[in-house]
Amino acid sequence: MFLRPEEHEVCTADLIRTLTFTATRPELQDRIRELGAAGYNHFAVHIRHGHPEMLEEWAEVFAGV
Amino acid sequence: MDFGINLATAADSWKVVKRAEELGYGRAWFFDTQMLNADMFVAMGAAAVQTSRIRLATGVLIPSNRLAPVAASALASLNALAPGRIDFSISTGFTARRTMGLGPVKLDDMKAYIQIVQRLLARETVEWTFEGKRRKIRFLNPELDVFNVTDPIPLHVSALGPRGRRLTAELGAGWLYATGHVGAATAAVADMQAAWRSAGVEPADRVATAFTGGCVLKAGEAFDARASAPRPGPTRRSRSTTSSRSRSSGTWVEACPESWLRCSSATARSTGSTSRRMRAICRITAGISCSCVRKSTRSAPRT
Repeated sequence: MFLRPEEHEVCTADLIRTLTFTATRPELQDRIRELGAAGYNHFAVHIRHGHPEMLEEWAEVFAGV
Repeated sequence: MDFGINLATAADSWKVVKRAEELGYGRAWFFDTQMLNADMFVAMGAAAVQTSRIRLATGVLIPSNRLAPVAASALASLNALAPGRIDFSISTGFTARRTMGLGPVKLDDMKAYIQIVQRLLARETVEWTFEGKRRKIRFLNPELDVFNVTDPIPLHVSALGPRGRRLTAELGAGWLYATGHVGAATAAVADMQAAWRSAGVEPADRVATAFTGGCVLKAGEAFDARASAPRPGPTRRSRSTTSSRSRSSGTWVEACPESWLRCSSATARSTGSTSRRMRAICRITAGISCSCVRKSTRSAPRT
C-alpha cells in the first residue's frame, strides 16, 4: 500500500501496535489468549501474497498459545 | 482455539494452503474480491484437490457476485472434491462491491440469498425470484454424484455490527469478526454470544472467528521499521497509486489493498467523518491490519 506524503504522520508505530496483530511472539501469544478467553475459538491471520514465510512465523506463535 | 489463514486469493493459493496444512493450520479463508484478486472458487477448487485435511472457506462470499443457485452448485462441487471440508461464509461485500462503485448488499437481501443457497444444498425445491419472476428451482439430479450435497457445509457470517450479529444468530451461523484490536474484539464477541443465546444457540457450539492480520516482530524490532525491497503487485493499480499525486516520493507499505477500500468507506461512514485525515487513517489502518507491515521510503512506481 502506498502512503501519500501527507499520510506519513498517521502511519505510526502506535497505530500499527494498537490496531493490528503486530508484535513479538510472546506479545502476540498473550493477545491471542485474551481472544480465546473472551470467546473466540478460531483465529485466522492474513498471509500476504508472495510472503509464504509468514506461515512458519505464525505457526511458531500458535504453537505457544 | 484453532488457527487458520486468510488469503487475498491468487490462482495458485493452493500452494500456500498446502503448506499451511502441513504446518497444522485448520482452515483457509479465500477473499471473494473479483476486481482485486483471482476467482475464489477456482482457487478453492485447486486447493481442494491438493489438500486432504484443512478446511476451505469462502472468506467471504459476496451475494451479488453470483446467482444463489450458482453459488450453491459451486459449494456442492467443492464439497465433492473436499468432502466435509467446505465452509460457506458470507457478508454484504464492502470491498468486492466498492471496487465496482457499489455499496454493500442489504442485510435482508443477504438473508434471502443465504436461505436459497442453504435450501438448495438441502435438496429442497425453493421459490427463487429472478428477472422479475418467481420460479421454483432445485438440483435436478443430485443422485448422479456430480457434486456433493450430502456432507454438511457450515454457514458463517461476517458481521461487524449489531444488526448483522442478530442475523447471524437468527440463522444459527458461525461468525467472523475482522479485527486488530483485542478490546473491540472482546466487546463484539460478548454481543455475539448474547445474540446467540437470545436465539437459543449455545455459543460454544458455533465457530467464532477473529479475522485479522499483522506481523511477527523480532525482539527489539520497531513496529514500523521492517523494510523490504520494492515489489510490484496489485497495489500498483490501486486507487492511490493511479493518481498523479501518488507519483511523488512517498512510503510504500506492503499490505493488501482491498481492506483499505473497505475501511475507508466503512469507518469514515461509521464515524460520520469525511475529512481527508480521517480517510487517510482509515485506509492506512485497514491496509496494515490486513497484512504484514513492511515499510520503506522510496518513490512510488509509475503506473
